[in-house]
Amino acid sequence: MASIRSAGASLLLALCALTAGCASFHKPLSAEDSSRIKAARVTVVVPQETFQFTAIGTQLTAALGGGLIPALIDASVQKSRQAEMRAQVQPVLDKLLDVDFREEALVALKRPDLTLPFALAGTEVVSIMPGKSDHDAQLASLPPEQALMRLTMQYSIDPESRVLTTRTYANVWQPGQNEKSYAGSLVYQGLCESLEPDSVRTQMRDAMAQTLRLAALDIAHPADQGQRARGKHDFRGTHPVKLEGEVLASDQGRVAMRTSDGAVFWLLK
Amino acid sequence: MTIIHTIVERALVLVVLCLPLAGWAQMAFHDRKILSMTYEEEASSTQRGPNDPPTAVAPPSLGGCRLPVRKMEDIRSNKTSAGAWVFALATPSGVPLTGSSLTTGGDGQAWLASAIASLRPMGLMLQAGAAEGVDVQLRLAHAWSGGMNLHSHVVLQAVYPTPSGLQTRRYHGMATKLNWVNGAGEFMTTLNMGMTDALSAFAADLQRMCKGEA
Repeated sequence: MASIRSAGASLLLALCALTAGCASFHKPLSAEDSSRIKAARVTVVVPQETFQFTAIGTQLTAALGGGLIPALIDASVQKSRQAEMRAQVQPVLDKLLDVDFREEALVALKRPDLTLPFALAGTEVVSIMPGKSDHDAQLASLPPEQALMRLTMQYSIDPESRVLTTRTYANVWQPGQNEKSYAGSLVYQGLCESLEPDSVRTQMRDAMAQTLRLAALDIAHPADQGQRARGKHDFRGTHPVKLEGEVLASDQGRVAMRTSDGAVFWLLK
Repeated sequence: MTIIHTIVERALVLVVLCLPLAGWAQMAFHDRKILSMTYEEEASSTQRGPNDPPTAVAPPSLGGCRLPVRKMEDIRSNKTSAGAWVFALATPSGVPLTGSSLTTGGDGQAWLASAIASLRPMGLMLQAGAAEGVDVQLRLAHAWSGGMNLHSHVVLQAVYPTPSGLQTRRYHGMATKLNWVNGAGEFMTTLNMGMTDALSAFAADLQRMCKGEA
């Protein structure tokens, strides 16, 4: 009995530590920081060269509580599924080989009608994820009233549903501060009219613009105060699921919604 | 009571296993991984589906082919990056929390040239400046992490002279490999597997072109 209590206490401690670790994946911008930041330099990092597809494994490792054998089984099953997906995705990848997300993101960042969390002090789209020294140098080059907003984005497309999904980790840093001032998970879904390059390019530009809008909404509404409407909407794609959360905005058949884990989604209604 | 004990123990093991990962993920910055871009022939892993019937595939013979490879070129739109290792939770709200880029420290053109040269034992001729021949281009070299594996996608493009003019064809190579430690060498191996896969499609097609079958 004593050993169970001991194990339970350890479990609680470990869970608290894990939760604390995960909690910083979402960090609201404080009112103090919000008033201090007059403008932000927006850097979009897109660390992929083309569409990438990744089959889902069995999740056996998580279900069994870890272990090398379940991990090897997981990896093996995923590898088989990856091979099976190849015939389906290869023609799409070939057709979209010339579609460059970075180019489309740059076009979108020049749109005059962007909804932004801060006044823009400059924009860039890069391919390399920065190391610590690159980050420190970038931060040191900013004037004190400006901030650095870095959006690390990944994109994927589901050939069957034609849904473009982008996943963005948004962070804001201020010069002279070691800790980030804001962290947010922003997930966009949009429906491409077709899988032709021009249609996908249009959706990519929309993804960039709406991701900035999601950041602005997340920063403007830092906490769920129970006053906004709640909704249930579909997360589409290879593994669809219904998500529930606080509705932050709604627009022409689409909705911005924050789920209980703090992530903000732009979903098709 | 034994069952409860087992469940608690399993949960504890899971959390303890996750803790270093969660802590690691908190490290916002990781140095980029510099790939050697050295070609070594690797067994292709995903060319065939797991349920496809086994077939004995003889390597194509290019002996006597009238078309030499006369030019090799790296025409990737971004010659700096070849993808990234990224840590993201496999949930709808999963985003790239941290990671490091794969940079092509070596020369993509040299990587292509050594890969093409590996076809010489099959009879492929390399003849720079030949009046008529095939121009081979590297269009894409991309690797990424996903699940417990590493993946790669390599695209070669060949421009053939035909009686009706130049004809461009593309060859996609894809590969998956178990990810042990996210090492730069592992990513390079995965890229080489993708290159080997693309090369075998190119060699088979070149053989058909030489025989006038395509």
